Amino acid sequence: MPSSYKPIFAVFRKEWLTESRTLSGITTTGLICFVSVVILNAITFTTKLNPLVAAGMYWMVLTFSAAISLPRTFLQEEEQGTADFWRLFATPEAVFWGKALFNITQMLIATVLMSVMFLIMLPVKLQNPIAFTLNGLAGAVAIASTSTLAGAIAAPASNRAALSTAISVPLLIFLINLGITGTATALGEGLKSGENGVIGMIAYAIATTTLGPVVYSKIWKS
Amino acid sequence: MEKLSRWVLMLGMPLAIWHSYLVGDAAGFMNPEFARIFFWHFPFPIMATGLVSAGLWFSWKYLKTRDQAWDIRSQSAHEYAMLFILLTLASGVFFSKVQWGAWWQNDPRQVSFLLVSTVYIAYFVLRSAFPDPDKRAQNAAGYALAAFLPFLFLTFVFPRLPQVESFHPSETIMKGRLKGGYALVTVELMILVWILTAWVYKLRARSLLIAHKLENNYGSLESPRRSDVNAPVVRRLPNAPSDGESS
Amino acid sequence: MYPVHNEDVILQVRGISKRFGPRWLFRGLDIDLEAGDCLIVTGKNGSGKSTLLKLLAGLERPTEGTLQNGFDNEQSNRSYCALDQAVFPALTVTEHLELAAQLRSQSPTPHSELLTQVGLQDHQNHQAQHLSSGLRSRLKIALAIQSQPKLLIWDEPGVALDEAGRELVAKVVKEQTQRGALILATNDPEERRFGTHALEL
Repeated sequence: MPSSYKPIFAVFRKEWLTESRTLSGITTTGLICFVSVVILNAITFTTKLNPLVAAGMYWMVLTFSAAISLPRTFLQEEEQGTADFWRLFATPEAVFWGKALFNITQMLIATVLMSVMFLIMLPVKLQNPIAFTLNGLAGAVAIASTSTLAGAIAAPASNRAALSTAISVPLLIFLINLGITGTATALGEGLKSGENGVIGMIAYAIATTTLGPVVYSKIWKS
Repeated sequence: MEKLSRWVLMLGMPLAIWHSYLVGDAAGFMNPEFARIFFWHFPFPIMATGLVSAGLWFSWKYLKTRDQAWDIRSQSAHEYAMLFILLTLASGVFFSKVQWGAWWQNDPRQVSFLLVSTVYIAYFVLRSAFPDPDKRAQNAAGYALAAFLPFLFLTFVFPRLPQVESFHPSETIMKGRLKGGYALVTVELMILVWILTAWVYKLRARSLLIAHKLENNYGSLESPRRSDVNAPVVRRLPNAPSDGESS
Repeated sequence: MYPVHNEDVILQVRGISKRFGPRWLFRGLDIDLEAGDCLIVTGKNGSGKSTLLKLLAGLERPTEGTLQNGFDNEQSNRSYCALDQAVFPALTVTEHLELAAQLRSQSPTPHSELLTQVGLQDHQNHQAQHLSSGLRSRLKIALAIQSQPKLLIWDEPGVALDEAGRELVAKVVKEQTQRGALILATNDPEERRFGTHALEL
């Protein structure tokens, strides 16, 4: 963490101002989540869902919506040619933390909306709301940090949009598995020591948010 | 050292393979004679893990020094890691068919290595997206650093998740139940595969380094002399104020 | 970049080189700049002027060589302004200046004087996407001189500017040489006259 938080919040504020004027990121994430839940609802219809399968669906939707929309914060800087602005005025840590913080906020909003729709529209029963909430929130943080980093790595490439999705999904694979463990347990799947999935997810979220700025500071200048 | 490695491989490999057919069939297997695939299947993931770790270290060294040689070492290590990941999967699939009756069992260790393969396929996809060698090296190194975390989790944590159950007899090795001739052949092939890996890795890295030098020096292995390259000089303009006046 | 401990030295470059694949743009370049110096970089298209300026601005890494500054805070004391440098389309002029100040951890100061100086006083609440290329160039000048840097690196200063804009360039150059040092990449004979040192690539 840089010594001063001011530059981090300056980056966050810039992202927030831009987003509030275009609403491009949150609408993309929201639409993907909404459409996915509607499709899942249409597919499952009257079928009772196994908690493990339901948890799998839940995490697939969250992961893909993040992998498609979150790397955008870095990709658009290269597209607009504004990446040099950050290199001139800011430190890599401030840029990464600011953008990650914005993506985490966006992902938390998407996760809350998606979870509400998921619980209302799909035939699942929530058994452990605390585990479900903790797992979802930690997962949102881990997904956002990982996708932000994937965006930063793919941004200088010419096929950056496709590449960022292609590299963020493999990086998120294990996270999906951890998420499934926690969510399935919260939905009533009798997994042995399933609550460890929630702890694992929190540990993974901490690891990814710590790793991100370290890697980004090494790759932000060519 | 390299000569010695080659002699050890030339003599040791046929002997170890011969030895693997001399030991008695393993008990408790559907096709005991095919259980010998284990001798190969066992070292492959260990080699893959070692090479991924080496690739991570070389990537870090590249980011610290910006010397292309480290990126070339990292690329070679990741290439052979990928090969061993695929060999692990292939030998695992064969083992699965002859011992459990199906090519794919959804065994967590099988699945985890399949997932690991996607992580490192993405590494090569990323490399191919950057035509500029410096950008390619830098971003691939960044990815290698980021990918190590899921690699560790997929390899060591995923097979222990509560929703998965493995067919893999981990206890056989971990608790020393592999004994006699079987244990000896396992150790022999482990050492030989390790020597083979080190040798082919070195050859690959060396050939890539030579190719890199040739590409960067217009077909020559020597760097251009300093005098051959434009060396511009800052000159003071005649109308400029003197040193005393300037500041 | 590392600070050098000599009060007069603004920039000290030793043996800096840049190569793209097999092609060396330049090699073994030394530069010493002190307060009051103005280095004019000239050269044909593709000779590496812009690349050199980006290296000196810390936007790219050199293949070889070292750069040392005579100051500590790079974000505040080293500025860069170029035609190909972009600004954020959805942010207003004032928001750009606020963002740059916050990133440099500077306390918020009124921007009205600076905006008047660069001729953007009537456009402070306009988003950058609604500004002409000339006005965007003025915004970039404002961002570059906002922190009163010790070193200003400027690529093709007069391009996209009208007569008043060129006068602004002359004024900024004069003020900068009084405050610190300046590096200009230009092939314009008028702008070359500002120089105390020259470098042809």
